[in-house]
Amino acid sequence: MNLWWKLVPYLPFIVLAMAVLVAIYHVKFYW
Amino acid sequence: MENAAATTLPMARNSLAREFWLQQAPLIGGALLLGVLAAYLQHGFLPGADRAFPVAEVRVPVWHLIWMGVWTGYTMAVVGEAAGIFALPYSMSILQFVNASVTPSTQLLTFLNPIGALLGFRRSGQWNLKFAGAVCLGGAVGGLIGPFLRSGLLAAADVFHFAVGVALAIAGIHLCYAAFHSTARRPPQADAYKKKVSIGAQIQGMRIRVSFGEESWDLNMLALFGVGAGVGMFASALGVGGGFLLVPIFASLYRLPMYVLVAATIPYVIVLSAVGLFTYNVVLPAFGSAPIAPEWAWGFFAAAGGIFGSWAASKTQMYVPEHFLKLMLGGVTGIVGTLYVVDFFYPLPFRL
Repeated sequence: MNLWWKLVPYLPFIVLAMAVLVAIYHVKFYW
Repeated sequence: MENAAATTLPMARNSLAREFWLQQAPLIGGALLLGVLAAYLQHGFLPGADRAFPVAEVRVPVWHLIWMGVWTGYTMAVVGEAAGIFALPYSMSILQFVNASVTPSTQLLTFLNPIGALLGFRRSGQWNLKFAGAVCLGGAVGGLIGPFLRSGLLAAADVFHFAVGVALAIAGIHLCYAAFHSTARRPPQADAYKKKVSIGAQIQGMRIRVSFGEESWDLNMLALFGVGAGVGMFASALGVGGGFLLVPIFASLYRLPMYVLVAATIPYVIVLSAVGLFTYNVVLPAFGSAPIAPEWAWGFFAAAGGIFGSWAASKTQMYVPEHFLKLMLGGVTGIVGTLYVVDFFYPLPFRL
């Protein structure tokens, strides 16, 4: 079974977690 | 859930790649190209991490704008909403795009983002211009009025934040509500999307009878027009597509299921955003108000990501635990909206 398809149900949560990290990066370096 | 995903794997891989490269990649490439062209035509250079976007007055790497489109387009499309209602507060509070141009810039994202979905729904038969007509006409009227509200009543930053807070709170409540009370849905079907469906519409006087299979709904076209105009006015004044209000109204008041209401809401968002953009750039100055120019490149770059994000959502939506996600997104949206509203009355000790 492909790992990618196993991750699909968790994808929105992974994407949201990445969005939080990128937002923190932006606040730290661009504000 | 994983099993269902795994069994579709052999067929899905090829057809997904084919669909992406033939249908989505040209749209995404076009939006990126337009972003670069718009930057050079509007400013003579490509803004980004080193040089601030002159209209937005902030430094943001181009990849971050594309990423904003991807994550807002993806997460919101998974729960049946559009990117604008997330991209707008993110642009304001994280990217610090706080002047009035944030509104038409986000409106450019909401204009381009649903085009891929529109083509998809048209192919699958979830399309009827008679049904969409009245609400789209209302949206066009709302799109002509809303920008005047933005340049007048909502011109002050704190009042605008308050209005965005109210919109976010509504979207948050709707998402949380939908997490517990699912709207009318068809049971999942093995042959879904394999054959073309059809949405019918018959106009009799001021009423329209919308039908799908054996189901039908009797709607008043004046009411559809009024709802479209009211939602359009508020949405275009903020710079969002209006789906956050229109979807709950259609789903709750008219009991229209998701697979039918998209035939009206997707064209609505596109029409409203197009008219809103036109009004911000052309109609406002024609009536003596200063135009509110969008940061065109900002909108195009975000839209490139948004097109990919919403397409990815359409391909993975049925494998995702939608209820938990709706609750989580609704909670976050509602809390952010409440903070915006509270900040208007009692300034908070941190920047929003």
